[in-house]
Parts: sequence; structure tokens; C-alpha cells
Amino acid sequence: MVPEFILPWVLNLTMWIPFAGSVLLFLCGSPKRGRVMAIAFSTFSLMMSILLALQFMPSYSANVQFESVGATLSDTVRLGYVVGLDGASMLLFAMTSFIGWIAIITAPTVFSRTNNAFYGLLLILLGASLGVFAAQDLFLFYIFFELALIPMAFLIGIWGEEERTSATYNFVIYTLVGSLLMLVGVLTVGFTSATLIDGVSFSTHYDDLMAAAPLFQDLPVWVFGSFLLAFVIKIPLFPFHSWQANAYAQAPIPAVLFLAPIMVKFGSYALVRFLIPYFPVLFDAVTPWIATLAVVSILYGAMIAITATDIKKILAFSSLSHMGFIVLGLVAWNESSLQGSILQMVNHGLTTAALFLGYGYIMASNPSRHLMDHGGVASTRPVLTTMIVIASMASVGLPGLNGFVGEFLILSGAFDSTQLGSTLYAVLAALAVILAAMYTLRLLKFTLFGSPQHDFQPEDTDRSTLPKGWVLGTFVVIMVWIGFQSPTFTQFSQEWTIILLDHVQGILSTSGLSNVSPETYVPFVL
Amino acid sequence: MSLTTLFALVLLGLPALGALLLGVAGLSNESWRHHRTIFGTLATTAVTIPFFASLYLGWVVFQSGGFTAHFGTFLEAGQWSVDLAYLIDPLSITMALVITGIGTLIHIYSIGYMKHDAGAWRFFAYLNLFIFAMLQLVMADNLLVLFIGWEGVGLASYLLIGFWFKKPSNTDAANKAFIFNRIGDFAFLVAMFLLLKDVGTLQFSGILEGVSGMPQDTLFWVGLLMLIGATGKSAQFPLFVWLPDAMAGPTPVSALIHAATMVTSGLYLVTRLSPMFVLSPEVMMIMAVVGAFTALIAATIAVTQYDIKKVLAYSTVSQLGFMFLALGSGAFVAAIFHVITHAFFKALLFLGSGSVIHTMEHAIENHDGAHDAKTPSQLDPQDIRLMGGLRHAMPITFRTFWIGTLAIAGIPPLAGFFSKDEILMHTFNAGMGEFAGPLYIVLWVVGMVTAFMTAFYMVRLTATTFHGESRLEAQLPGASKSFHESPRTMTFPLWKLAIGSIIIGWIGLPNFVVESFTGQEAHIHLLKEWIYTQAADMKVTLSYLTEWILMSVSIVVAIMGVSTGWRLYGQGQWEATDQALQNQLGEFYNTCREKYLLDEFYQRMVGHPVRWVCKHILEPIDRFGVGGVVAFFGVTTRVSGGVLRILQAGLITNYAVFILLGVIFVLALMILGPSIGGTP
Repeated sequence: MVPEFILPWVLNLTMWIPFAGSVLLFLCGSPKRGRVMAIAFSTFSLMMSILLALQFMPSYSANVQFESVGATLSDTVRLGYVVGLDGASMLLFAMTSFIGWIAIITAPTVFSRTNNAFYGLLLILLGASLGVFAAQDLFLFYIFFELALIPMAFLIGIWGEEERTSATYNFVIYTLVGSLLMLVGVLTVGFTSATLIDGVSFSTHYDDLMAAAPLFQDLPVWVFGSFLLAFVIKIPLFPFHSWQANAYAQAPIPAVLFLAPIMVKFGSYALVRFLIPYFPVLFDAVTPWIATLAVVSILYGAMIAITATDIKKILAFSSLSHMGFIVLGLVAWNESSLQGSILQMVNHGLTTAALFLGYGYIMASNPSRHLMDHGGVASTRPVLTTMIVIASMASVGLPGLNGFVGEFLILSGAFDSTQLGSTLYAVLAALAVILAAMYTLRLLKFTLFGSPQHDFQPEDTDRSTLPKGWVLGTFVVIMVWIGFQSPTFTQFSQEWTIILLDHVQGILSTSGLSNVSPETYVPFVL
Repeated sequence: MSLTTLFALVLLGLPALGALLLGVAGLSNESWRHHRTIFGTLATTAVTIPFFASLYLGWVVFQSGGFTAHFGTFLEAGQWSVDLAYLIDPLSITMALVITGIGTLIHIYSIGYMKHDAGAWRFFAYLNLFIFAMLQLVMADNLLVLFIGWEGVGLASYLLIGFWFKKPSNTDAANKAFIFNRIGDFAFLVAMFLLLKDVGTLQFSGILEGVSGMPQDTLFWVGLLMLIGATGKSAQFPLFVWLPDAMAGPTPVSALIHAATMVTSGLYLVTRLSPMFVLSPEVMMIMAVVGAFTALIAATIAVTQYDIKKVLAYSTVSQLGFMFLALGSGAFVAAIFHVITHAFFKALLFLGSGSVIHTMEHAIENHDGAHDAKTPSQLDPQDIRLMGGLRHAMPITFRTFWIGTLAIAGIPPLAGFFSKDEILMHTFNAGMGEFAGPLYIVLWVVGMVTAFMTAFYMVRLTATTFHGESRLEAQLPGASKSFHESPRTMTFPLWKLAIGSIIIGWIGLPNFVVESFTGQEAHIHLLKEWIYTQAADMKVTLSYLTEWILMSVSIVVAIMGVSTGWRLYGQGQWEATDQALQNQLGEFYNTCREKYLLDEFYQRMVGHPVRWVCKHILEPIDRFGVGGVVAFFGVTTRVSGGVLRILQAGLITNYAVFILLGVIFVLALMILGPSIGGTP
């Protein structure tokens, strides 16, 4: 049994150890030991976060646990270092440290030009991503949110593939524009929340913000808009996705392992963490729009993936499609769909990471992103093939694996949602089960099956892929575990979801707008 | 854990354990993969023990009624939760017995069949995975757990159809099967959402309790969507096109998955929820029409095919159509009865065809083909036009194949006769009763025509394959010397299935035969006695005389079919007969031979347009259009790109300075914040 007072320190260590590691790597790491150090630091961080997950009490998931309060800027400006975990963030936090660890330990097998700076940036990325989920202060969240952008820009810009420069510009400018606008929103919200507290002029602590949420309903619409824009770009939602495919295609695989499974979750996490509880009235008003965009993303992403020929882009568009499900679950806004969305964020992280890693292995020995240059992997590498097939099945939502559980909760929730008011969203979204099978099986057909298109090097015999099999096998075990024992995971968010819905209902019922049906101020309803 | 729950765990868990063990063993050590017989034996054991477990459970159910075995919670959200629970009752045990029983025989057969295939280790792992998924499907206590099995069998089927993955056409067939199944699964999913919304549960017992309170609309939609799901899995019009292609898999797979078990899961689902289906006459009618129509067109295609497995595949589609006709006529027991008898004789026929293909392959490979311009690789070992004269070389295959043929043709007292007769009797009954009306009389006629054609094309197939002279000999002189009977592991299951095809029909002897003499209620239809509580059968209102007449008609039709077939094909004169048929029927014959162009229709009307839209509309939109929608960001990019170019001189220090400036800006805002924004 771990004494409870240690746990906040464990949380701090989990986050800061990667940062410390990166500083050490930049300053004094010898080129040979860089990888070992990076692995050591990220492993330590992973151990700590597993400990936290085991110590987390799901029945109190509405409360912030392991809370650690650092310095505040001043007495009148309640802005500072507060971290902790609750029902919405615990699983994402654990997933982040797991996938981050995987990205670091597998880096040399999928990417040949690693060096100390590369590992250092990966570690910063890991620390910042953990910080995003652990922050309990909106400003702190914003800092980590932006901080994660910097190492990623370097990773794509320096180590990326041939069109890295334009991909980096696209990625940085796009997301930066969104988040700078959000900064203004953050400041406005901070000043507003302070009006409730005596002697304080600014506060961004989550608790203060939640308490002040009813006041936010009267803020100008652009404040809400600035948050919304930042998040839908990050997720991304159609039509804000044009940075995505290029960034995924150009980034080196270890960076993609942060970008696709973890960083896009910043957006969806922020949606449920801030937008829904802080601006329920406005969110309610734009629900038909966002739900429509989510459904369009689902179908559009899936359909483009059907004819795309770049392996990484196919996975990117599949990601666009899957993130649409998560957003649909968030806007459908009932217990089942919200829990489904929170679980699906983790699921999508795991499956996307496993797929990018699996195809990363393939592309490492046959460096082409083009579908037709591959084939016949199944003949020489049955282990890798098996793992990729299982991960693909999780991605198409085969029951018994993790993806199905999330999708079922989301879709059944959306089907029954009074918030959406129409079953059509869920039915159209469910069409993706057919489309997903089409693009995923096509990808499998051209990469794994058929006759070998490429002579694998002698060292690529079966035996050398076994460690890779173990890495991917870990993912598969977790996928099956979630697939059959989902209550173990949904219980993390159960209580939190109920409290969130109560909070939202409370604000909606006191606000005059709640009596107005969405149709009256939103002209277009699906 | 009680003893019965333990047995349920063995029944459900052992095949999964087998799949896992064989898969991990084969993957982890290359040298182990050569021990094909060990892999086969282990896999067989993992199905045989569950067979005995289900025998025991059947005994328990017979003694003290059904029960539910719980293994935790599967899914939980808000107001509803779904247990990982399994129903042990007469219907599920009956299905489990068929699956594990026939599964065991096919596993044994596969040991011989896959003896020379390097991928045997994968094969047996997949086969066990299939048995696991299929048992999930039939034992589930709720729709969601059933759905695990429902898609799980789809996965196993995908893996096994594409088993020889080096040939791209095999992978195409596997993808096609998966995608067409997914179309049905989509409908199934929506049906589950509807049930959750309107009834609030996915448990069978809960749904069946709730049906009386369900609005007619919901009943209709849930029924229709589930029917669409069932047409996908059970290969009914218009979704049956994947099944003939699925024959690309190894033949034991075709026998087990694509004839005996997986394709019957749609029927199982409808029977399980039969009290709900009978409340919606429209759905029942659609089901009957779809079934009869599928039965007829598949039979017309089967008459024109030359690939031994394709004939059997269309025959399967046609027989499944019969079963749907039974469901639609409210004869759920008869449908399950036909599932059982069909499992025996169709598995027998497929395994027999596997034995034939095996020997044909051997003969073609052994022959060096030096005498002829045609190289052996151009000859298709599945083409019945190359067969003939196999009766002497393979006596066991020959005899058992004939037994299968007569059983499916409906010759009494073989198995197919009883179940098919019961189905047609119920269809006629539905046509006479208040329930449905004259449409069903038409369907009965269609059924009779199909029954005639079934007997006809099966005799055509058998006679062309085994009788007459060897036509391979004409192509490759001396090749027929290589013909040989298959090894014992393959002939043993043939005999067992042949015996089954003869006697299994006796579990469903028609009650009226006794009743018409004694005048009292008879109970010789054992299957009905056993599962009637799960199946909401329509009452039979026909007089004994009518039933006797109907039975006589179906016997006459079956004998006519067989004798016509024999007269036209018995001496191996397929060429002349088919030519004559073609001349007689003209375009219609060609349409049948081209499978009603359904595949082309899907390609032209669905496949190509979807791909065209993706490639020529969505992709350009994505490349140029979406950029235009967010032109704002485009402009920003260009302007700020110029600024950034200065910063991006490549020096890390520049970036650091930029970041530092940013931090200072933010900190300044924080500190100055109180003075510039006291109030919002």
C-alpha cells in the first residue's frame, strides 16, 4: 500500500522526469548513451503513471485526485501550478505515458536518424502531453497545450520526409492561429471568474471556473468561438483538417506516435473538459452544427481513405473518421455517449499507435509510403502480420476488441440522444462500419498479402521481428482486455460523467435560453 | 462455480484456448510449424471435448431445464448494462451440438486435407477461432454477446477465405465476404440501437417480454433491420454474391463455415427472436418472399455451373433460401430442422468434393503434360468437365456422395426429405390459414419447382463427376492412373456424415403420419418436443388428407428430379444435355450461367460510382476545396510565412529567443492583467 501523501509527488515526478531527462540529454548526454537515458526516463515515468492508475479511486472519479498545488502568481491573481487527475483525464494520462514510452523505445527500429536532440524533443513532448491532461488550471493547460507544439514542429521540420517544410508551416500556423485566439478567451474567462471571489482579480483554477460557469453564459459569443475553433482544429474536424494528412505523412514515425494518438486528443479532451461545462448554452446552440461536422468527418475521412494510396495518409484519414465518432459522442451529451467518447479517446490512441507502429516497421525495411510498392509481408513476417491484422480489426470496430466498445456506446448514446434530437446522425455515422472495412481491408490486401514486392534483408527474418511482435503484442493484449472487460475502464469516467451532466443541466435550467429549441436560432438542423 | 457453469466454460473457452495456443505456438517458433499433425490433433481435441461438454449440458437441460451462465459484465453505461452471459437451453444446445459435432469431423478431415500445406498451423488456429466465435453466437444470452460471435465468425471466415493469401483473387474474395457481411452488420447495429432506445435492453428474455408493449413501427423496423442483417450473414438475395466467391478458401472451410454453420446464424437469430417476428406479418412476408426467390434463382444458377464447389455453393444459397421460406411461413422448428439436416448432407457433399479435388490435383500435378500443348497448370481440378469416371478409383467418396445427393434431393427416408417436406407443408399451411393468404401458395409452388431443380442439378453434378469415362484421361493420357481414394482421416468423416445424412431426419418424423391413424396427438417429432418452447411456430390447420397429399407430391417431385437428372446426365453426356438446354432456353440459360449479372450490377452501380466520387470529387475537394474554404488560413500562412522565414534561419537560438519573447508577453499579460481588466 502506498501512503497517500506520496501520490501527488508521484504525479509531479511522472510529468517532470521527462523534462529533466530532456535537459540532461541536451546538456551532457553522450551520443551513445542518449537512447539509454531516454528509455530510462520514459520507463520511470511509465511506472509512476501505472502506479497512479492503480491508486486511482474510480468511485470518486468526479473529484480531483493526487492534487498538488504549487505556487500561485499572487494573492490577487489565482493562476498557478495545480495538477491532479480525475475521471476524464486518468485514462488519457496513463495512455499518454504508455504510448510515449513505446514511441521512445521503438524509435531506432522505425527511424534511422535518431540522435540526442531527437530523443530530447520526444521527452519534452511526453512531459508536455502529460501536463495537458494533468493540469487543473486553465492557464497551465494552455501553456502545456502550446508547449507540445514546439518540439513537434522541430521534429517534423528537421527530421521529416521530403515535403517537411510545407507540412510544418501548415501544422504550426494552423494550430497556432487557433490557440492564440484561445489565449484571449482564456484571459477573458479568467477575469470573469474572479468577479465571484473577493479580493481576486483573475483566476483560472478549474474549481473557480466551474463555479463561475453560469456567468460565462453572458460573455460575448466570440469567447466561446475562440475556444471552439482552437479545439476543432486540433481534433481536427472537417473542414479544419487540412494540416493533418500532410503532417502525419511527413513526420517521422516516433513523432507520429505522439501526434496521432495523443495530441489530437488535446482537442477532444478540452471539448469535454472546458467547452461543455463552461458554455453549455452556446454549446447546446451549436450542437446540430458540430454533430453535422462530426458525421461529415466520419464519412468524408472514410471515403477518402478508400482511394488514397499513401499509407500514412490512409491512416490519417481513418483517424479523421474515428475522431468524428468521439466528437459525435461528446455532442450527443448523455451518459452512454460521453463515457463512450472518453473511452474511445483511449481506444483510438491505442489502435492508431499500433497501426502506425506496425506500418512503421514495414516502411522501415521498404521505405515507401505508396501502397503499391508493398505486398507479401505475410509470407515473411507472420508475427507482424498477425498484430497488424488484429489492430486493424480493432480499428474497424470488431466486437471483442476495444474499438467496438467505444463505438457502440457512442452510437447507441447518439441514437437515443435527446440533445441531438434525431436518430439520423447515429445511423449515418454507423455507415462507417462498412466504409471502414473497405479501406482497412484494402490496405491489408496491398501491404500484407499478395506476393512479396520487396526482398527483405537477411536480418529481417522472422526471429528479428519477435521483439517487434512483443511490442505490438502488448497493444493487442490491452485491446482484448478493453474489448471484453470494458466496465473496468468505463468506471473511471462514470461518476465524473454524471456530475458533469448535472452541472450542465443546472446551468441550462437557470438560463433562459434553455427553453428555446435549437431550431429557432440555428437555421440548419439535420 | 457450479459444475454446469464449469462445463459451459469448457464448451465456450476451450476452442478459444486452442486458437490462442496454436496461434502463439506457430508464431513463436518456426520449426514447430512443421508438426502439422500435432497442430491438427490439438485443434480437434479443442472441439471434441466441447462436443462432449455440450452433450452433458444437453442432458442437464433435458433433466432440469435451461439456465444462464454468467461470466461478468461486458458493457455498462448509464441506465443499461450487458452481461457476458450465456444461455444454455434446448435451442442453443442443439446448435452447439451441430457445431461441435460436425466441427469435430471436419477438423479430423482437415488433418488429412492440410497434410502437405505449410500453413496448416494457421489453418487450425483459425478453425478453432471460428468454432469459438460460432459458439459465442449461438450461446449468447443477449444480442451484444451474440454480436461478438456474429462478427467473430465473419473474421474467421475472412481469414480462411483468404487463407492462400499469395493469390490476390483469394484476398479479394475474403474482402468481399467481409464487406458484404458488414452491410448486414450495419443493419444489425441499428436494430440494436432501436431496441435499446425503445425497449431498454438487449437481453433476449427482456426483448421477448417487451414485445407485447412495442409499437408496431418499432416491431417492423427492428424485424426488417435484423432480417437485412440475416440476409448478409446467411447469403440471401440481394447480398448472397459473396458466398460463391468464398469457395476460394480450403474445402473443409467451405464445408464447415460456408455450408454447415456460419451461414445458418441468421436463421438462428430469427428463431431465437421468433415471438417478436411473428408479431410483424409484413416482415414475415418479406422473409418468405426473399427466401423463396433466393432458393429459386440460386437453383437456376446451380444448374449451369461447372465448378464442383460453385454448384455446391449455389446449392447452399438455395437451401438457405428454403430455410428463410420456413421462417417466413412461421415454421421455426422446421427451419432449425433443415439447418441440422442440411449441416450433415452439405458438409458431406463438400468434404466429398474436397476428396475429389484432392485426387484431381494430384493427378494433374503428377502428370508432366509432355504429350499435350496444354500444361497442367491450365487445368482446373475443380472443373467437372474434366472429371468423370471417378467411381472406380474412389469408391468411398463415390458412395457417400450419392448418399448426400439423395439426401438433399429429398428422397425418403433420408434426412433432407423430412425437413424439406415440413417446410413446404408449413408454407402451404400459411397460404391456407388466416395468417398470410394466397401469396404463400405461390411460394409453395416456387418451393416445389426448386425442390425439383435441386434433385436435378445434384444428380447432374454427381453423374458428371463420377460416372461415364474419365475426361481428364483425354486431356492428359495416363493421368487417371493417379486417381486414388483419400486417406482414412478423410474417409472416416465421410462415412460418419453419410450415416448422419441417412438417419438424422428421423429426429423429426411428421406427427400426422401417426395421428391420422390413431386419431390422438402424437409425439414422434422429437425436435419439436425439444425446442418448441423457443420457437413461436404457427399452428398447422391442414387436414390429414391434405398433409398426405402434400407429402406424396414432394416425394413424386423428388423422384422426378432424380430420374430426369439421371436420364439426361447418367452416362456422362453433360455436353449434349447442356447444349440442348441452352438451345431450349436461349438467353435465359446464359443469364443463369452469368449469375444474373448481379456481381456486374454491384460493380457498375455501387462499386464504381463510390470509387469515382471518392477519387474525382472528394479528393480534389480535399486537395483544393477545403483549402479554399479556409482561405483565411491560407492568406495567413503566406503572410506569416514571410515573417517566419526570417525566424527560420535554422538557428536554434532564434527559436529560443522567439519562445522567450512569447513567455515574456504572456507573463506581462498576467501581471498587468489586474490593472487592465478589473471587470470583464
